[in-house]
Amino acid sequence: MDIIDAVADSPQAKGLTADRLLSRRGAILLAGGLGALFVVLFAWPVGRVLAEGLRPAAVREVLRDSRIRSVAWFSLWQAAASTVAAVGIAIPIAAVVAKTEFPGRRFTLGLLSAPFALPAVVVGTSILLVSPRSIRGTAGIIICAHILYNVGFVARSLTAALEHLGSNPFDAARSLGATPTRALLTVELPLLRGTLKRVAGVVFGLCFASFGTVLILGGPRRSTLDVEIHRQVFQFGRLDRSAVVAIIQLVILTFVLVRTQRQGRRDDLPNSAFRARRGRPQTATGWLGVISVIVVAVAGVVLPLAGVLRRAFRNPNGAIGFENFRRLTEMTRGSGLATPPISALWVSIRAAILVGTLAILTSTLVALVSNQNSQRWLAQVLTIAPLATSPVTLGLGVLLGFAVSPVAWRSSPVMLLCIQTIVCLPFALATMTAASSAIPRQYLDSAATLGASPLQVQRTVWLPLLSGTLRAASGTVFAVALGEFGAASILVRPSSETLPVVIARLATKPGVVLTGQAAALALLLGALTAFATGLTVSGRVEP
Amino acid sequence: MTLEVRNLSIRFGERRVLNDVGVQVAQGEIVSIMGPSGSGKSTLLRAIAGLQPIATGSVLVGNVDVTGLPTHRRSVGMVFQDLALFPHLDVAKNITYGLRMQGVGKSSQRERCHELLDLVQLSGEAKRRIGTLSGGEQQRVALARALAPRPEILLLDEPFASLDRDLSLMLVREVGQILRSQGTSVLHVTHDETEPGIIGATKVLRIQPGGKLSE
Repeated sequence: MDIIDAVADSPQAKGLTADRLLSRRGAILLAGGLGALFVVLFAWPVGRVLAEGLRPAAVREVLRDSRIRSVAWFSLWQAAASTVAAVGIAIPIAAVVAKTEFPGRRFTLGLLSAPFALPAVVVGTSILLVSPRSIRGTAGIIICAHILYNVGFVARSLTAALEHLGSNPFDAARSLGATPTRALLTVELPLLRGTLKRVAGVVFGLCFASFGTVLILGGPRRSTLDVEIHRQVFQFGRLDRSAVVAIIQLVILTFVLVRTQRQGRRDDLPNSAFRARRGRPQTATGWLGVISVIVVAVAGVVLPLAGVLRRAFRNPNGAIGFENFRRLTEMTRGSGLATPPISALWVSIRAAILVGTLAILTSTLVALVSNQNSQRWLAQVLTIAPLATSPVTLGLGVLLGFAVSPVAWRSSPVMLLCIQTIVCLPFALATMTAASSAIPRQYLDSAATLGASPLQVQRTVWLPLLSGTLRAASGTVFAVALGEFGAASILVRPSSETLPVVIARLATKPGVVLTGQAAALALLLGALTAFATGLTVSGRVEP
Repeated sequence: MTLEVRNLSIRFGERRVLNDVGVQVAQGEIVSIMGPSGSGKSTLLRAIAGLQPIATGSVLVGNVDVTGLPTHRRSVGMVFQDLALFPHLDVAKNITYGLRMQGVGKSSQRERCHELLDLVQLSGEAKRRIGTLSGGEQQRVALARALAPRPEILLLDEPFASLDRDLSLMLVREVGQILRSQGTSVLHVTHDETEPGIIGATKVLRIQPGGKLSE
């Protein structure tokens, strides 16, 4: 096998016979085509933001603006606080879930990660509905929402990492006299610092550039840079200042992501062959830990989500019923909507199906191309670039870059679909490229020796082996597309607003009727997302 | 000659793995190549199959120069070290895979599949999933799959190395009998001293340090 690996890594493997899935010409054509699309739909709009935002006059104006300075400061410190809190809460949860066996263990972990799978708008709305009016627009409520959103993601990642680490380091520390907590703190967590850094980096990035949650919960008082980009466009009509803010955010975000993801990977450990053992808790403290985890999951996740449920089924007159759902078909005064709220449901489903299909198609093609060693860069660029650029920034880029003929496409619905596809791409691409490169080369080689041309290898071996991953990725992408808010909030046309846009509009307006409609729509969006995520789970097959 | 390799050299970066190697396999001949692991045996087979780019030299299959042809046009069958049976297809579909690639009709596929299942003594196992087969059974399916399209030359890349000693000796003997009964031309590589004798090799070559071949 070492020879095969050497072949795979040797520079000569790029020759005529290096790839079973694509001919050399096919690979170049496909990579070129995808690269061109990326340039038009990503590099061009982002480049326009840079060009617009790097004008000295605009930069000076923004830097002197004390309000924007305080927004930047708030973005940073609330992201830091949210990250520290989310990781701090997730560590003990992961330790309990990874090390002990208790009824409902997997369910508890799934429950905790549910908010992360839900659209930010749904999580934001649920917090808004269960929180007293007095704390709306405070830093506290925003940080709470960010913790709720991310803690399950951190806990799940750390649980997986602890399980991969195996029980040997822990047992060794215990045999040397460490208490379980000390063993965790002095041995396991230091060993997992790579994972910790990487996960913390992602969480910081998500909170720093948080848009939907802050737009709904922050009110006029609190905003992040991402919300400020939006505000500069729609409240002040200042695209130049908006571009400066976008650049500031882009620089910080790229710096944090590159630093944490790179460093994190360097610290990674080889996985242990010994899986961690799990047993029933032996002590009262052990049971206390389990009970606390369950209580945290129920109190933290179920209560806010149940708040939406309750509010959705409470009629404006206070009785229980379907009034809110019935009213979705009506135009309500003060809603600011051009169509009845329910129409957003169909718009969103249709858009999510289109975006999901495009994203899956694109990621399949990218995975196909990046199977060839020389073209790995494409998958990496397409995964990292859209994550470091917020959807709002991309939307701003479209406003700037596609404003004049012959490319005046900024208000075309197709443009929004394309941008949303780019936003969703990393989620499909990560799993697709991983699964594709996990297919043993021998399968492709042996198909070739049996007379299969590259196209036939693709169709008869590569695609069938990826079918489970494809199904899982489709569910994820569909869910992400349904909840996509940033790009939509900038590019959507009033006549075809999507669910997240309508929910955010209704939730932030006063009045029981509108709040009830927002709750009903949030419930529908949450249910749709859960359904799509359910597809993901059922589609996950082990190779 | 069924297979002729002329002046073949392969480099991995700076390192020369094979140096000016020549091999000939006549119709119906079984040639074994011996060498320790890491000596480039597998690489030689991969180069013949077109899975590994070469620095210099040429490969002729059935007197046709295939050096510039991609793998799927070379009429070379190969049984891999780890067999590489397709996990998403059943036994019959694995065996007939090469026939489908040639566009052979359904009924001829079925016929050939039965023939091969009989040959490797797996009659009646056509519908089984690959994951349910024992190591020895997988070995036979891999052999049947490689033989099905009637390749000019069959390359065996240590397919017995992963089995335990007793089973592997039995299988090597059996495979040798099958191959001789079919008159298949075979190039077989191994690091096991006893295998060439048991499989019935007509010629044994050794890879020397420095990547040269000798009788």
